[in-house]
Amino acid sequence: MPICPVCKLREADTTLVEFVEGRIKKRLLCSICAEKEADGVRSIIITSTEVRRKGKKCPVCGTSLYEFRRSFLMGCPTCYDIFRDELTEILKKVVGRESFLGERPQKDSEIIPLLQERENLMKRLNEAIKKEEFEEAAKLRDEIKKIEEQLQWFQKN
Amino acid sequence: MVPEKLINTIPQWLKEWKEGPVVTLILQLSRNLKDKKFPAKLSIGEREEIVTMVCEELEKTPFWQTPLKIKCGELTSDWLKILFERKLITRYILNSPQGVCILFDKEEKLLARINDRDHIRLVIRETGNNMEQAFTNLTASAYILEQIFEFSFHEQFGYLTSSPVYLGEGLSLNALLHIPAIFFTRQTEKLFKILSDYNILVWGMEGEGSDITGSMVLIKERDLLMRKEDSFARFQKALGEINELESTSRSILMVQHQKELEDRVLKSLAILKSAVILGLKEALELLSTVKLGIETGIIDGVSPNFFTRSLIFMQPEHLRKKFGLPQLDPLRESELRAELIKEALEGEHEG
Repeated sequence: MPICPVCKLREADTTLVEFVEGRIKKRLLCSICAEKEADGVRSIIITSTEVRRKGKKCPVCGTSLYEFRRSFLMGCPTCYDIFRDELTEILKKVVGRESFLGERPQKDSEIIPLLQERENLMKRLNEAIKKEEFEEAAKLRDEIKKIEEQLQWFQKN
Repeated sequence: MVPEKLINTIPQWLKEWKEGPVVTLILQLSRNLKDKKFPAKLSIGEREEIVTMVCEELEKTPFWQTPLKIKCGELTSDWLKILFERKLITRYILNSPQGVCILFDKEEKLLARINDRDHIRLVIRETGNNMEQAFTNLTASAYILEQIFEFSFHEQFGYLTSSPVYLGEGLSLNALLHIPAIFFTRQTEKLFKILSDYNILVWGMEGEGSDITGSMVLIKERDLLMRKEDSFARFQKALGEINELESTSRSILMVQHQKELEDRVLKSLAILKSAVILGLKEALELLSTVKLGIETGIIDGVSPNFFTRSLIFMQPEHLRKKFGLPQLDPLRESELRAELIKEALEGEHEG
């Protein structure tokens, strides 16, 4: 493989297509120089299939760096660690931030038992209705109402 | 199965909109389950497993009393198109519905898509005047989801989503706007300035890649990695500025170009009343102008629901189902559309 004429160091494996004064000009460079020389919409970088195969790959889902660059979609949570540097670079350029400013997720232990309790009561209520035990059903309904009020309070706060 | 009556109702998030530039707010929360590949990389069987697990948990939550649950993979393409026209599913699901399930209430305001591009996408729709309500609902929903599931969270990037566009809170803030006066007075440059100041993207009402027709646009905030409270505040501020621009444009129209406006509105109304065939785009433009006429008081006596009714029922697949036709060629479709809009104008079949 020829050597890149710009940096004279790396192998030239990438074609840079440029539109100069209405003409198409093709140059064979290495991938890093091609990106540096590329000028926005007026140039296209064509990566050879060999490079596509060589690039980094996520060991969990098999997404390659090339695939990510093309679709801007990650395949699994691990991809974010594999392509962390590349993504950080893009984020810095596009949004000027590179890390999340919000809060870490928090679990409250109170709401889950409430949901389970509600589920339980619902089942008992259905049974009571089936057996025509209406007094019991009325009691259960009141309890469910109470729990639902609590849940609504959680929703509001 | 899709309930038949779905095709005869206007979704509540559209029906409640009476006037003003913000038709609907569409807030979307994307979450992925911990240590699981994103849906695109899962087999159909694995997706089904996630659907079963997530549905079971979601149905226990206080989100819905009795949610409608639809497995998209089991539907024929015409029903998928109905869901698409009602904005219940995205174009992506329309093309690959396998292993996708949606849950929603009968008002269609709260919707969960399971195995869209992310494992769970919760969509909250509210009319423009209920902005605070929508944000509260979203915060509450995010909180409740957090209690039930274990999500992928990254120290640097926040909640992980299959598209890095939603990184951070996994949040996407969108709004459907109807801003005819801005277009009539050619103030679009000012509009685009506001949008670019706030880092907001704009498309036609069909979303990414669509053309702007009938003065309806869909805007999308693109502030990833921010705290959600900050994103809300920014988005609200942007909407406020657009609102102001639209109302100044309306006053300009009313004061300086009153005759032109009247002419345009009344001509549009006359066309809608007497047209025999109406294409989708043409109909949308005319409807929008007439709606402006109603809001500025030029026309009265038109059923207030007519705009939203027409907007949803004049879509091709809705027309086809409503009239019970097996197939619909473009000409017949346009004929039926004209007929339907005439009916809506007269306010028949209120519901």
